[in-house]
Amino acid sequence: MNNSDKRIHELGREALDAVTDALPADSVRRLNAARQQALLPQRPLSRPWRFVAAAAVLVLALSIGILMRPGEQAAVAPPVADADLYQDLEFYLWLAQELESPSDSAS
Amino acid sequence: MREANRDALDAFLRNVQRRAVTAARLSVPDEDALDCVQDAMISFATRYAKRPQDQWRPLFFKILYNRLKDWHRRRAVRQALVWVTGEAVDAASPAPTPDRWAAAQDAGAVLIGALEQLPMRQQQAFLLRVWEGMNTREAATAMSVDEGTVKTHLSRATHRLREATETHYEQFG
Repeated sequence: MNNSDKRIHELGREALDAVTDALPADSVRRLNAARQQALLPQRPLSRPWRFVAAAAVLVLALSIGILMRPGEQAAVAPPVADADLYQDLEFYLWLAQELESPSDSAS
Repeated sequence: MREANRDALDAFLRNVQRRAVTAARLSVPDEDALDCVQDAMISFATRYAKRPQDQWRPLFFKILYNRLKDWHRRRAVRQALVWVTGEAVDAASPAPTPDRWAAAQDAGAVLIGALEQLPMRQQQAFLLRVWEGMNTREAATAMSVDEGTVKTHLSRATHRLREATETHYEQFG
């Protein structure tokens, strides 16, 4: 690595450290609260709701497959190339967890 | 969770949480950065706390970067819905303020501004290798790419950051 690259790396570390040290106190408090929540015992998703989550994902995937069929309803197709954008599996797993125990919501 | 593991996990998350927020703020608005880090901490504690501790740091950042990727995907979906419906789905996150990186002085602030503009992979490679001090293998794990790709992204990131800061650095030393 040449000296120029070393200077950039050192400058980057110093700048990022300075910004990190200046994080607002309110943000730090939120982080500390989230950390404590993360350390609590986490309940695994119960078996019945796993099936609900899996079924929801399957319905979503089938719906996307029907809507994304080539040549049909092209006018409503959004200008996005990646079909994976619509397969938000984690969202439906989260939804299933919320339905099971809304009082355990992370937010 | 055993007490010793819980203490170790607490110490790890306390050490990494601020840096994680800084990393997240480089690609998403501040409020969303906090949310992504919170989600990452919970997800990490749930899924990876039993892994060997030398794997924790790359795994944590892998989760964080997946959260950030999800954020960008959801924003693209919201924008697509606006295109379809002609109506805003929800309020946009607040625009970043001009003094967002004020804590970094002069050339440092210029560099962070340039870091914000880098493609996500180049940004990640720089943060993980240069700032977090990970080796190439650890960074590759966090980025879900091979080691050669990490080196390429780091080289490109360094080149672009040097170009962006060269003039300013020469002026201010």
